[in-house]
Amino acid sequence: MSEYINALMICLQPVNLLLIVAMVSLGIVFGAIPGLSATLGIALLLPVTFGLSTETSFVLLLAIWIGGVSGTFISAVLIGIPGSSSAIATCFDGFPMTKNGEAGKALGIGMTASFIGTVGSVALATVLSPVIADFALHLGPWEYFSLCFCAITLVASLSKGNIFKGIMAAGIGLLMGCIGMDPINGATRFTFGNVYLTAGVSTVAQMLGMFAMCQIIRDSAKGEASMPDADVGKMKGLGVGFKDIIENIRTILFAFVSGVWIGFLPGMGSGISNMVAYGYAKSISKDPESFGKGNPAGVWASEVANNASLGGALIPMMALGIPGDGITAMLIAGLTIHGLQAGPLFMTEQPDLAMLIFACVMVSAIITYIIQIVTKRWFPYILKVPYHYLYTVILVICYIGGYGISNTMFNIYVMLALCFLAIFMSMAALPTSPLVLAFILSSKLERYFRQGISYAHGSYAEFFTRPLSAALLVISVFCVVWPLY
Amino acid sequence: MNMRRDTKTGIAGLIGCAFFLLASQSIKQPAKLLEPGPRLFPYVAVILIAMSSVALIIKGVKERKIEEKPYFPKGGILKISKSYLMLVAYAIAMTWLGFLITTPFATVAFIYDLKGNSRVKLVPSVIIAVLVTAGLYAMFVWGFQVKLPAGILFE
Repeated sequence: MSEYINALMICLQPVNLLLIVAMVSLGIVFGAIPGLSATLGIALLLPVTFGLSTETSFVLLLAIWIGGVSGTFISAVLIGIPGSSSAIATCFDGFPMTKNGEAGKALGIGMTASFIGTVGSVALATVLSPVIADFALHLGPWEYFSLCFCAITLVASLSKGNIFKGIMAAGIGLLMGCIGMDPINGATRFTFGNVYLTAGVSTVAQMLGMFAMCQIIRDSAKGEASMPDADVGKMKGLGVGFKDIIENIRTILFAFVSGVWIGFLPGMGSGISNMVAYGYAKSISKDPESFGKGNPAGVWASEVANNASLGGALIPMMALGIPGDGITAMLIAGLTIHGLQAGPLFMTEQPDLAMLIFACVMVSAIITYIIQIVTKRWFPYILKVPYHYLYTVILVICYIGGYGISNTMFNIYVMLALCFLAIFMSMAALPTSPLVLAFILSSKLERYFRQGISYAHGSYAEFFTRPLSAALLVISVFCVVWPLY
Repeated sequence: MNMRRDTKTGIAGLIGCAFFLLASQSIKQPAKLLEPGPRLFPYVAVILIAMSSVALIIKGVKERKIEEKPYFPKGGILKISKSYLMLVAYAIAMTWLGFLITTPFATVAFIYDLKGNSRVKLVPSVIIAVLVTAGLYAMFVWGFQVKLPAGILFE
């Protein structure tokens, strides 16, 4: 508890508080504009953190994450285009509310629901993560390997369209992770005599090339960089009251629980939880016909669930060092930049820093809510930002970031090569999430696998005879086989 | 014959596999190991990609008669190729001339490239380009202590 209070104090220091306000505001803008996202925001900020202290870096990254995730409902409500997949269900009733002249109320619900989802789930993550981390300390390399393997297969099996595309993307991620020195013997792999490649492919270069650069030039080529005007009515006041929360309490509670659980599972996250919660809200409604025509319960369900997934995803990231989605994978990359390794040892050996992460998320969520209340009337203007100027600045920042990784031009060329790969993958409809997860987990996966066999004197049996490891492997096999039938 | 995207992806995947399988042979495998050694994971990755590639080729062949919607609208491939070449040109120019000289030109070029159907005027674009370059330089070099490329010609 004292660590948490100390962490809160760090977040409330004037400099950090100012940074949180600035980054949350930037995050809201990134979340609100379709095409930009919290993921992109974190990717752009990663290089900035090279020269900053660990605490300040995490304040920056977490604040933009929270603002970005929360801001996705704005365009969903105002123009019917979700800021990201996590706000798809918000469009179903949020946009009709705007068309019915209730934009102010819909935005108020979005803000309040995001706040409830984030604050509740982060409080839960703060309590549960140390408990799970304590348990995880008793696990061996066999269980860790199976856990990483399970996470990758879950993500690959949930890939849109075809499981083979997910497996292929995961394979590419594993192969990329193999570049450089192997984690046990230090043998060089796929470096082709290049000394810069000995350290492997930089995660930051990967994120900037595959997410930021690729997305910008692809959207421009597809002609997806223009938006309709927002039709807004009365925007004064919060738009919702305590009575609204009480009226929708069942929906909110279910959305919260499902959001946390789905966020906890690797590969699922807010993109799925908002749809599940929306479906439930419709099923328990006395007037299901009104869904899709501007029923506030639809917005409550979607926004509570997608923000609750955020806290759910924090649990495996903090307690086990396993990223549940692309964003938490980047946050783990942020930890790695500062020489830290997420997981049970991090929770027990550096509880002050672990608690700082939880405290910062909590403070960011509160500040996000306050900023959204104050700036609500200006939300429509966010959507009028001229894309060509914004994207140009982002592209230049990518180059600065790429150079900053090692102060050489090499990583800029790596970034460009990965941008090319990402364009090819997007044309081939190969999902990027399995690639990112496999890339981030590849060295852990390999280390645990080979250590497991070494510790068992060359035997593979331990993977199947230890109960937790065996159960996780069965789940993994099921995940791969199930989509084929 | 008009190939589906899945088939093309599968073929590209198999070519990539062949290349990395060949490259894996040069990984030094220490003797007398209790565990499988550094070649195992590259092999696993190659097998995963190869399996998926074959599955995608089969899927593409099976569905060859189904009409496929083009990924990019008309002229999209040309547009993305142009944008990508612009990014490469900026990187090469930055290598030789550094950040400060190349960025204003690159910024104007990017603004025009990404403008879509919006109207853009040259003078405001140039002013924005100079301001962006100066602002980012000040922010990163003085604010965040991040070095920026000076250019081979000026080092």
